[in-house]
Amino acid sequence: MPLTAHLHGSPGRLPFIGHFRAAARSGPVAFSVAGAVAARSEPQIAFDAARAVEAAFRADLLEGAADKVAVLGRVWEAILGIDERVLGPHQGRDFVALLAVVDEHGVGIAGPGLGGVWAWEDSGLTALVHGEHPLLGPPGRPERLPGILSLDEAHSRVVAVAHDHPVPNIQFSGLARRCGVSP
Amino acid sequence: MSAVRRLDPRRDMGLIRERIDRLLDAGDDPASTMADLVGRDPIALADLVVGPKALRHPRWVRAALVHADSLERSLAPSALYRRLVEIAPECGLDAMDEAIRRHPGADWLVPLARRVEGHRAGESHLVATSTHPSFAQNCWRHAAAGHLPGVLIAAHRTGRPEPAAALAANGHIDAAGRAVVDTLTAAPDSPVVACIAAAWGPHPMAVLRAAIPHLRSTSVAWALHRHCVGYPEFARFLEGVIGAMVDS
Repeated sequence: MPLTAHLHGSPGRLPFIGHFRAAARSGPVAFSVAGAVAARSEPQIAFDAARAVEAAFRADLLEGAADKVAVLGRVWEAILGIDERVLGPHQGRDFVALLAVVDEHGVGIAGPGLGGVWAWEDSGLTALVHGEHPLLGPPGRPERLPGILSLDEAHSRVVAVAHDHPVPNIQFSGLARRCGVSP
Repeated sequence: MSAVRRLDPRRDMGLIRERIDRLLDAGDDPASTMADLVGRDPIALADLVVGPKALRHPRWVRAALVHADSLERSLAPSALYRRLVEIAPECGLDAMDEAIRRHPGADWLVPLARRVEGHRAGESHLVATSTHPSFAQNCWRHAAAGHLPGVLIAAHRTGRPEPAAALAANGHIDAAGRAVVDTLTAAPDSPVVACIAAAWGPHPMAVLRAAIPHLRSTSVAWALHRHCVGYPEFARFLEGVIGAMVDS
């Protein structure tokens, strides 16, 4: 099943400062990650940090990973392995990411610094978490992620807003563009 | 010396208009007459400059621009400069320059630029405000209005990344690609790729690919390559392009 994670842009003329995206598949397991780092820095500093994050996801990352928990572990290890000095002035303490992982049993999501997460279907958006859910928390790169949320239904797209996003809800119309995805 | 110093603007407007008309026809400088009217009756001056029976003479309009501060108290700036351009189109660029100097971030400068500069709309505004805080906003407005040549000129003349980013954000992909090349030609270290990624999305390959047909020199192509090392696939593709390039 194809799976894509998206992070909504922030308001303003440069909504995608420090945004990064990566995805890979190996047999039945796959991951997709969308996030931002150094998002309040100068565009060039944030750009370099974001590309450094993308470079951490090596091609062999998924080799031998049996299930989505193992995939998530590998992805998070790769993120923890990034030298903090390349992650901008806050050295990764402002790291925000939506990690979506999939295996033959279904989809799981996790990530630091999220303010809301939705399943994104052609018909609209469905909130996946509510209120004080552990998936919604502060940014950064903790040694261990708070956990993985397994989804009952198979969703091919998930979208999140960062913890500091000014509006708690997102509009469905034009969503792809507002996630930095262009045709 | 003022040609109307003994006349009363409230009573003798017809005569004042006649005298100024004569003065302009004779090729004399209207500056002191205008200064006299500003001091005595700025409303009467506004009537003579932008009113229904305004004096349609380029030298009169140019002299009026010196007193823009006073005229703006009689008429909203957007209407004032539009009217000056309408009265004396040959003074359009002068009026535009004064309007930009006084209101660098005003949105009404965008339609005014189209009227004055035609297909180069945006050039004066963007080049003049390239170091002003309103520059990014102005780039976005001109790009949204479709003033592509003007925005491209700004990219080339300033080397700033905002024109290319504004074009990309407004969906002008080919123009954005060209602007990337123009920007790097003027300033090889300009963070133009980073700004486009910040405006468009993290993987702006459509814009970067659109830049390739506009590359004319290997040095600019290598500058683009330096900015794209974070996109290894595109950087490799670009290396192939550079290998096949012949500097013009």
